[in-house]
Amino acid sequence: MIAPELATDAVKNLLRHKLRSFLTALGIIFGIASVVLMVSVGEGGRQTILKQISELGIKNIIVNAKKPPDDQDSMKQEQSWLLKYGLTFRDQKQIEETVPMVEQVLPVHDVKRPIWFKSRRIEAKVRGVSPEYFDALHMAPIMGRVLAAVDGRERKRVAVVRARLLREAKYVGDPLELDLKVGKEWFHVIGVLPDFEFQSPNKAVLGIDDRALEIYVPFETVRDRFGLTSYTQRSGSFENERVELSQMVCRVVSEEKVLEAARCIHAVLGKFHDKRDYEVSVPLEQLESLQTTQETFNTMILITAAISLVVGGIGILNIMLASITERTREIGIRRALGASRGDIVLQFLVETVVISTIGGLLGVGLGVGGAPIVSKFTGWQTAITPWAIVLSLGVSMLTGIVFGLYPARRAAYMDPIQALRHE
Amino acid sequence: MSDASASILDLRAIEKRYGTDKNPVPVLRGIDLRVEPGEYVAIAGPSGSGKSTLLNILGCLDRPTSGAYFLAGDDVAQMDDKSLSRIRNTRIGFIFQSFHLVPHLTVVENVEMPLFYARVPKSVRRKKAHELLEKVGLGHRVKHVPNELSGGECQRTAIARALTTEPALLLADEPTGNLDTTNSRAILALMRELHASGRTIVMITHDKDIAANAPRRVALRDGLVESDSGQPAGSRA
Repeated sequence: MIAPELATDAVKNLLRHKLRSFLTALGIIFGIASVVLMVSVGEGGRQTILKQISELGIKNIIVNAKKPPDDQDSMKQEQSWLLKYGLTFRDQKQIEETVPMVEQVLPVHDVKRPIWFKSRRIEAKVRGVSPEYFDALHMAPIMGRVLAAVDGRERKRVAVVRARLLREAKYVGDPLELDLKVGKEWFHVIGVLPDFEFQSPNKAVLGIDDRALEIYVPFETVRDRFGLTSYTQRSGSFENERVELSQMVCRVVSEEKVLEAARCIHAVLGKFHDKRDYEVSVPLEQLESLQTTQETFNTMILITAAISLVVGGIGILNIMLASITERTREIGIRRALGASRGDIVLQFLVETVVISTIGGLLGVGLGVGGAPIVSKFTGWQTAITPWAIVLSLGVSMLTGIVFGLYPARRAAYMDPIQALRHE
Repeated sequence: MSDASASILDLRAIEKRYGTDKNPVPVLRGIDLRVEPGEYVAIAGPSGSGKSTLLNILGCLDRPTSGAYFLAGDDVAQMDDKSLSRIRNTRIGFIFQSFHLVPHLTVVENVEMPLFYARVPKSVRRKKAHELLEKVGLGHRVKHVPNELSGGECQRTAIARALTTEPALLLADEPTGNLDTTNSRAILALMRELHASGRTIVMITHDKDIAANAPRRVALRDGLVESDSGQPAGSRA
């Protein structure tokens, strides 16, 4: 094997013309850097989405109550009356009884009451939930505990909060000694949940943008202490709403049954609701649609990568052709001393691969170094994966081979006699 | 294939034509020549006599149009590129008029190059190159690049390089053509020394005085051997 020695020679050769070598590799450097960056942006996005969807639970179907659009007729009739909409206990019961794929329906009721900590009002959402809710949405406390069955049974005034809430409240003491006032009731904090790990624009798409500031209290406590009717003052007029369930989390027996279960839930709810006052969101479906988006993005990356590497490769091709003309006599000498055509091909091929690989390494460095900067300026998550680096280096080597082959063959097929005479 | 008792060079009716089939330009028109091991032959001729073409064929850089060429017993006339490269590497040591050293490599790197293509490990190559450079009196110049050397030193480097693979034949093309008188004498003396130590040398030159250094002189004219002084009596057989 003479290739390792040829590689050493190639490095020496490239170092003889540092600027030229750098300029030769420049196309590859930027090509690879942009590939690494795009892959890291894509990967970052993918991880964020995956994380969010797994936070919603891949085996869950989430049904949210939705205020129906204000249409003029109902406004006239129901003005100053009680506005009833959303999910009901009957819905919950129907789904539990008629959809066999759903093993459990967890009720959620959102309390529309102001929350106070000392004299500070905190904008947060209070959700009455059952103990299984935490398990279904993969929530584990970082401090204290989540709600238990006994809390609901005894209508305890206890709450589990997000860590961010403590920061918003500017509370510095022991979180488990904190009391919050919801409406006119005092709640004692028994557990703290971690913040959502990712912050990204996709949150709004998934309808979970305000989950960072949720307070969870026992469902039964909410139902019995606050009732299910809420009064909101809106631009001078009062609005009375009655929403039995703000949300239902339907736990499906297995991942394969999720889509089927979603169809059944649609059918069941459709029967009891004439207005579209609910929406069914299926994290699994969202995951699948996001995967399609991801594939589109990957194709884009591929095209960009291909274009930039062709540009980089042409740069190498160009310089290598010039270099071969310049080194014609050397090629003649080597041939006279016994280098076969194969030896000459190998020599120049190794040289282009060395330059493109070094370019690739610098490009990876640039991409890895640039990813946090891109993150900082765009707010996108980026993630560098080992396979992206390995792939980039592989591709840069391949570029060297593809674009080095023609100059190398041209060098090898020179007539040695002519080459020796070349000045 | 290779036969120890065979001639180093055995050319039979070597012809070389350029141009097209319809309009051939004959350069060599039937050369017969035998060179035995240990001989020192000068091939002289005016320009246009075909000596460069003959040199290229002798050096396995070119192939004859017709005729047979045995180099140390092997028929090399119609070998493919790979085999010819191997023959050049192992059997022939070139000494050129303009030295043909690779300018960006050091003296020792230039000298060891043929052994690189013979796939000899680096340490062995280095040792051999150093030995040969000592022998030609350049032991103090190994780390220099050709630009830092005088013409005579360059040619001695090239001679050291020609010797690295212990070739059967040293092929010198106007070895003193680019040198001043003093250096020319030194190089010719070195070649006589090599001959004395048993090397087979073929030197191509246009200069009768230079050719006179060789015990046997072959004159070339218009693609044919015009005269051959023959092997002098008393030289080794």
